[in-house]
Amino acid sequence: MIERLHPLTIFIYFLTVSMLPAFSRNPLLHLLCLITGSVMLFTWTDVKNILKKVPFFILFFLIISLFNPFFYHNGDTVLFYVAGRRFSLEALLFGADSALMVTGVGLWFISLSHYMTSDKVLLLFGTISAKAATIISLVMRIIPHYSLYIKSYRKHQKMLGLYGDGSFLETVRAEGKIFAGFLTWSLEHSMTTADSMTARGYGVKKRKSFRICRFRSFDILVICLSFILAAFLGLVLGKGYFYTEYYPTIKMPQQSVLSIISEAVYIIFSLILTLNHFIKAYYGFFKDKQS
Amino acid sequence: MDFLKINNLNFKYDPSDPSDASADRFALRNIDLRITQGEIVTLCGPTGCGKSTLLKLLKREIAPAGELSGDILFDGKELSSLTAEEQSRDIALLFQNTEDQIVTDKVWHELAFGLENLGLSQSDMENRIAEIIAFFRLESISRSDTGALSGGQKQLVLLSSLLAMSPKLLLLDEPISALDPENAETFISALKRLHAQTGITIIIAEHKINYVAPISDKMVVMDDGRIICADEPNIALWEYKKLLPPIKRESEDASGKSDDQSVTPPAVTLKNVFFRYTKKSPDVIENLDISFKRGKCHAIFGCNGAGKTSLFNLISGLYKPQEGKIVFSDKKPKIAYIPQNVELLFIADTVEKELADTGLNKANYPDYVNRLNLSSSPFDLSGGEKQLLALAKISALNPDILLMDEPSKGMDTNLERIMQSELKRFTENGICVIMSTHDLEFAYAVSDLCSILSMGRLTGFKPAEEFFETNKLYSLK
Amino acid sequence: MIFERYYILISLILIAGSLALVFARLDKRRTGVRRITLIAVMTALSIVGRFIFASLPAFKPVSAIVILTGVYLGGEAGFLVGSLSAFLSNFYFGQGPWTPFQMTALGIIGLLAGIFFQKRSFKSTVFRRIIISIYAAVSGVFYSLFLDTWTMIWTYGSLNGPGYLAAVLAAVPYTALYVVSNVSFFILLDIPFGKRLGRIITKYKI
Repeated sequence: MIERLHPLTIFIYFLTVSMLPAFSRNPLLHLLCLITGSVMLFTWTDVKNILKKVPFFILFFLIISLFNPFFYHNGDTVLFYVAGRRFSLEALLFGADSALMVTGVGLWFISLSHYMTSDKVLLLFGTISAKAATIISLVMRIIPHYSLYIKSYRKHQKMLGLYGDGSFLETVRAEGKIFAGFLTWSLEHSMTTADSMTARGYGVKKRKSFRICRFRSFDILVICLSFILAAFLGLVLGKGYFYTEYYPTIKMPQQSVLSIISEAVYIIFSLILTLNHFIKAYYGFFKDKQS
Repeated sequence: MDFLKINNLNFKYDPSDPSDASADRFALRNIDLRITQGEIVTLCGPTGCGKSTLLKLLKREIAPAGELSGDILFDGKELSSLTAEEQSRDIALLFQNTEDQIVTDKVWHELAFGLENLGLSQSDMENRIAEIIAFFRLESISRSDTGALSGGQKQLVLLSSLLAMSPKLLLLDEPISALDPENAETFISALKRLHAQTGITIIIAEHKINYVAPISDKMVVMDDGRIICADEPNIALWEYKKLLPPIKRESEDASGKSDDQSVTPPAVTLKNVFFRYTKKSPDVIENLDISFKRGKCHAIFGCNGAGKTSLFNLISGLYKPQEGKIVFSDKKPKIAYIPQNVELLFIADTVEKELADTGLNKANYPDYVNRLNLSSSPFDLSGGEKQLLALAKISALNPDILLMDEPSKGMDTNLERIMQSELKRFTENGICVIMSTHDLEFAYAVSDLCSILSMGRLTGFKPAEEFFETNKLYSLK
Repeated sequence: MIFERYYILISLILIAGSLALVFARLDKRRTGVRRITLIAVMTALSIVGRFIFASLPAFKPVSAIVILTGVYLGGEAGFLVGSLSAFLSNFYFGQGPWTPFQMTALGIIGLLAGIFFQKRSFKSTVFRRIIISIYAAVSGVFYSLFLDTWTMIWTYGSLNGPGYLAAVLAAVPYTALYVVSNVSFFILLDIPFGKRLGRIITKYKI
């Protein structure tokens, strides 16, 4: 269960798995990152929701892929000419590879935002800066409160006739007044919040953060594995085992034992946290069938 | 030995102090008070009598600026000699405005907030939080967002977060004025349980003395900055009632009696109205068939979530019914709505501009406006004064239908009396007043017709006297 | 040999590291509790502002509010409001490797606004408003360039060639919208903010 992990673990794990391929220029690694990133999506959302986002990602993918060949003309395999400039296969594939990478990392970050709930973020931030953590918790508290208030404020002012005849000019004027009124309200009330914080001893001592999550040995394991993966893959990348040349012609690196091992390790590690979820789903499916 | 000893305390607000409504007047005069450990003391008196000021002076960090003389001894020590840490740990204050006091977005974090400030160790914090959650039965909401709680739950969470710091003295500033009866009872019983268990000293400033008197050991009646009586509740209550006599229903004259309600024309009629917020949610208003009369004051009772707000939203046209019709007898009736939170009606910087906004100027102010400081910001007014300002704004609109949600909230009987005469003026002018309320005494004093909203429907309106006579639960005594 | 896209790694480490350092450093400074709640209010307002105008690309009051915070509450507050509103609003609009860069850009805008223009009196002169409007315009260009640059590095691994220029040119309408929204929101909001913040600051002696 990913949500049961310590926020630091989640943060380190997701960053490692998503960002490592981004430091290479290898389409295979980027593809793996994209695939495992999509698998991760299934641990918390359903097919319907994912399908809804697909058109956006395709568009995104196309723009990034096509942008490159229009401005970089140094590939050898010319597909056609655009305004006298070469549109090369290499540049197109380079663009597609970049798009693959950006999309893959994007998918991983969607899952990361899902699992990093507000209390988890707060805990991480609290270790860096207690002041920022206090502000974050205030903001998280205020935003829903503000949204509700401004809605009914508009409603009641409308009934008082603020919006006049509803013409454009009147509406603009009214919205301006609403904003000013809302501003006064929010500033005044924030002072009571400040008093309530003072009354509860804010600032009398060095503030300590109450931690709702605790490290388990499993967290430490995941973090250690993340570091090992990062070191290992970093070394392999640095040694050029995944070095791909695009220009003037595409030269993919030879698959070697080390690169195959790295790929396998990456796949296993980036799927390791989803396994639990899918095994459970699988068994649940069978249990349902038997009963 | 006295736990808290106040000797000849005088206090005058700093003229530049924001919370000052009446400059150049002593807010507190010759206050002498002794409180023994473990007592529950209630401070009561009309709005502006100084009870809130007294409470705040006991909490130095947020005490208002001004001239102070006399001394306050807390647990044998001069209050000002306490360190900042002792101050915030030993004396807890629950302010009036619940919503603004919440600092964090999760309940557990709110409970931890004070402990974090005191720099307690993780295990100490865990222990205190677990204890407080178990004692106040907050388990089911401990992981909720604070924004998702009801008003009563918020109040309880705030109280718990104060108590987690294990204070020796608990100060409560109008803790139940804003709560409905159900939540008020929950809160009082929580206090009772707390006191029985820990014997903590509690000082409560409150208007709703009916709730707090039974649990108080001592009641302090204040007026105009002075203590006029500090005694056992039953003696002090008598003094209090002399000071603030409860409002009475005006005896109906003959013409009022003969006024047959079927003759009075309806201002608005709801015909078989159904309403729900979303497709999948249950009906909030279900086959409601009723009419509201012109020139009458209608009181609607009902528990929280019975649909009073929905009903108001329908009548005011903010929502449309899915089925049925709402028929107004006027072609384009002016509808005014005073919500529970009257600040929603304010938009200007000063009271004067606020009144000018609805076309009121010095020549045609209602006389109760004189109680307000015209140049101050509407937000600097006290709760009851804000209600008056809202009432003045609304009355200037000359509405045909006036909707009021809990109009007597946070008002003392002096202000209630103003509200009563104002409502009378409204109904005499043929305005149809519809209010939802939990306050039976107030409703009995001001309303003509009463009804209960339950299961999406209103029971037929009955004249107030008949309503309170025939009902067994909704009756006065 | 070092791997190909190491600028990304370096830029990320630099930015995230310096952000963490700044936050840790700010923690050493004592900030009054009322100031803290004001910072929270301004952050919430800028996030709610981003919500309200979510459907219009680039037309957001966020930078204007950040600048106003810097002007009225100082550089520290400006930095905090800028960086935290970028961070927190991305929980609704999507987190990514760009988050630390947005935090930095907006944080710097607020910080510099505070350093250059923090004022003690709350009456705005026309001259002053013009100067700050220019700053708001410049900060719009800065924000846009800063993020475009990083997006280019992030996507294609380098800034070489005409691609970067094309990207910057392609972003010109967007940048222009930024500048327009920054300046217009600043002008629209300056007076109401100045009046109300000024009142609160003098009234509560912040």
